[in-house]
Amino acid sequence: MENKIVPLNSGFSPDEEVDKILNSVQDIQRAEVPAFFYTRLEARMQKNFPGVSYGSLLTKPVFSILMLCLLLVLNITVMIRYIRSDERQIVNNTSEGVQVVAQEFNLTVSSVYNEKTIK
Amino acid sequence: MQKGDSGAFRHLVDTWQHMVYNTVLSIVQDIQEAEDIAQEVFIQIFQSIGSFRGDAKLSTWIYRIAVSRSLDAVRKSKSKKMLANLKSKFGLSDKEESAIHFYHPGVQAENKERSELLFRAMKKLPENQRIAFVLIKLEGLGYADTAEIMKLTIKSVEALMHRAKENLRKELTSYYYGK
Repeated sequence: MENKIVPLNSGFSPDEEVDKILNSVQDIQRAEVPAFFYTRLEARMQKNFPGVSYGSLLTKPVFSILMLCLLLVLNITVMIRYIRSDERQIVNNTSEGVQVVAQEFNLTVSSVYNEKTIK
Repeated sequence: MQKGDSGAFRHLVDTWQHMVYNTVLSIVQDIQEAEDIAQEVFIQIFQSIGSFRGDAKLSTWIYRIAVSRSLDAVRKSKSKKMLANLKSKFGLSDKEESAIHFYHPGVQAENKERSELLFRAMKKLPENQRIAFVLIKLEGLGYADTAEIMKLTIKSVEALMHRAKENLRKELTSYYYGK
């Protein structure tokens, strides 16, 4: 700090002035951050950590598209499995029906042993 | 916030931004640098919120980060200035670091010039005295809170404040008397 030499007969009291200087921050207000502080902070964070997301994940288009694709794949898989199990049931039901009809009309193929007993 | 909630982080910044900025600005005494450091403080908070165990108050923890970051910046700037002055003395650089006048935006207009002298004198205080003076006089904290932030006893903080005021008085008196 450069010195400020004051003439003795100037009526100025350095001690009094020093007190005033020491008390100059008595009613100081808190300094406030410049406007758009958060925006600049967010930009800096995204620059420093590009892999980290600070906004809501749902608002990111890449995330939304990925979720949609996943949902579609799940739907298709479930549908395919459902159709396949239906087909199996139809096949089983048809073979059971044929057997019932055959028994009903005595269309079963008789074996050699059966013929012998008839005779 | 510890679960990575960005909304909570925004809320934390909104709540503490002025406190952090004012503390940093009062220590580094440079408006542009203070914003950069305040941003760094929040980045550090974001990165290390997981390690905050709640032993101390959240404000105490944030103050500690702000003070430590500011002191790092002051040390860096001091060594830069020393290097620049050395360079200019040996004729390696034309520029010699000149004192930049700092006016705290929160000071009332009639005290602007006087507070500028006070801030200049504050730069000559030892780190501990400077921090105690900033937290008590410029942030308006009590001795107990300041002691918690500085990890000292209340008596130590009182002693630091006493010495800070004495040193400031000496510095300002020598400014007027040319001693």
